[in-house]
Amino acid sequence: MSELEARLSRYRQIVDDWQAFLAACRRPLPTVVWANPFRAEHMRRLEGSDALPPDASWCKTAAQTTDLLVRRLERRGLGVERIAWCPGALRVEGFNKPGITIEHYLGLMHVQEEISLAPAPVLAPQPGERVLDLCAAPGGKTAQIAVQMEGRGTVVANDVRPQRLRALRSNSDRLGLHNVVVTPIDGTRFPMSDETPFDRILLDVPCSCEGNLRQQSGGGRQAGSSFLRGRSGLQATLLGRAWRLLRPGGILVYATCTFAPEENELVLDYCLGDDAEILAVDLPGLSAAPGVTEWDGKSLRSDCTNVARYWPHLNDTGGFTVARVRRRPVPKDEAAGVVDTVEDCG
Amino acid sequence: MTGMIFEPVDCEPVVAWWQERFAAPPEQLDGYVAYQRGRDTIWLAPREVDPGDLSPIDGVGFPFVRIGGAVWKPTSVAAMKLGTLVTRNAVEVDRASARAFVSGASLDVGVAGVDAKGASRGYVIVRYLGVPLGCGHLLGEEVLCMIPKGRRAELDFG
Repeated sequence: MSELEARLSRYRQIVDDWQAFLAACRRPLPTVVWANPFRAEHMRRLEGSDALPPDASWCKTAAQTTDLLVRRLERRGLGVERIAWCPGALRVEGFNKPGITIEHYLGLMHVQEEISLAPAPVLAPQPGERVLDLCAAPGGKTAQIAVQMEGRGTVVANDVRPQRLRALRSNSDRLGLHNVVVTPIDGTRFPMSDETPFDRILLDVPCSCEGNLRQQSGGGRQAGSSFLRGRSGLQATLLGRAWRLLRPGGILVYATCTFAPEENELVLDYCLGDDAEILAVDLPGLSAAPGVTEWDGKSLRSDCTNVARYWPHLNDTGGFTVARVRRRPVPKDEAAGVVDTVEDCG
Repeated sequence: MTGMIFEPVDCEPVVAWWQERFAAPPEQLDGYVAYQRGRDTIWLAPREVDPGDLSPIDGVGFPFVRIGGAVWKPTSVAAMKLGTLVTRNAVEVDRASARAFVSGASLDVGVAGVDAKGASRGYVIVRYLGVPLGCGHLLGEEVLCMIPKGRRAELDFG
């Protein structure tokens, strides 16, 4: 048994195709970038393209920006494939140093691992809302949220780690975001306000990063270690706090880039009460396995089956686990849930 | 330093300065409000962005102008975000000069590939194909690179 297989063997019972899973974990990941609609005018000028009519929709602007980025990258001789489940995102073959290109410098694009693109569309923030990204650095998902909100409303991007906060600020500046408030607060003590609760919260918690093992930097800790147990405690504390910051009817997305149920379903099972409902996740074109409802002899809340497990072999990506949780509206206010229709950019 | 106070301040003086120095369209900054951080930086954010009672805060919107010196200086973030639409004190450069500028080099005014026609002494926005690369400082016959050192790089222009 290889070291990799030994390290992951505790998941054998919950992975549908063990050999395909191991094979995927051994392959390197392609470079993935997404086109930034906040730099649409920059892109048009570089490409000598006509401006869209002033009343063009955000979707059309975003689509044009993507088309022009594809054109630029193909002119570099790179193989570009559009990612069907995430508009604006591109797999790029042979893109060795995207971070030192003029496209990156100008903020025309952002480099982000494919599966880490999933939590923001699962959150589905709407223009004008108040959204919290509690563990936001280095800011790729924050930027996705700002784009989905079309630059309208407020994104509070928080991270307590100073070094990573600098990376967040740097990305926000480079991508030209303007509706972001950056805070350097310990997420477990994030201040509560009855007057300004959040419509949606992304909680992409620090985790043992097993899903990153396909990245060149490696990644991942031995599950079952004291590190993992410590993580679970921090994750539960963060979730407990985030839940109190979310308004009734609001949506919270809990995400990790790890496989361990101890950092995913068990945390949700431990923290969530009757006022929470784990909803099904549906990103057309992205395959997910169901969450676990039993682990290590312990039965978990039944809606943990709605947790989306993106095992690496399902979509040939890194690994991620994502839960979409709705805080039930208070009875007198049943209609107060967030609007969940998303403009069709298809 | 993180967590400084962001104080709402009157937007009008910085908007007037921006329009005067760079002849920007009058409506370009409609809907923005201003915050002052510390003694020398004004940030801009859309009016609807609501920091609420959060504290401490590390950023609201984007840093717009440094007002601590004798002459106000646009941030490189503002130059890049807003500089497509300015019509005065923009220096247009060709590809070779653009590559040199983003790597930190100063540019000689008047040589082929650097068009500073009509620009006056002071801070300018350096553009390639009309796309802002960052802020420069026009002094005599030279445009000094004001891009933060951490952002300068030998870039692949494709």
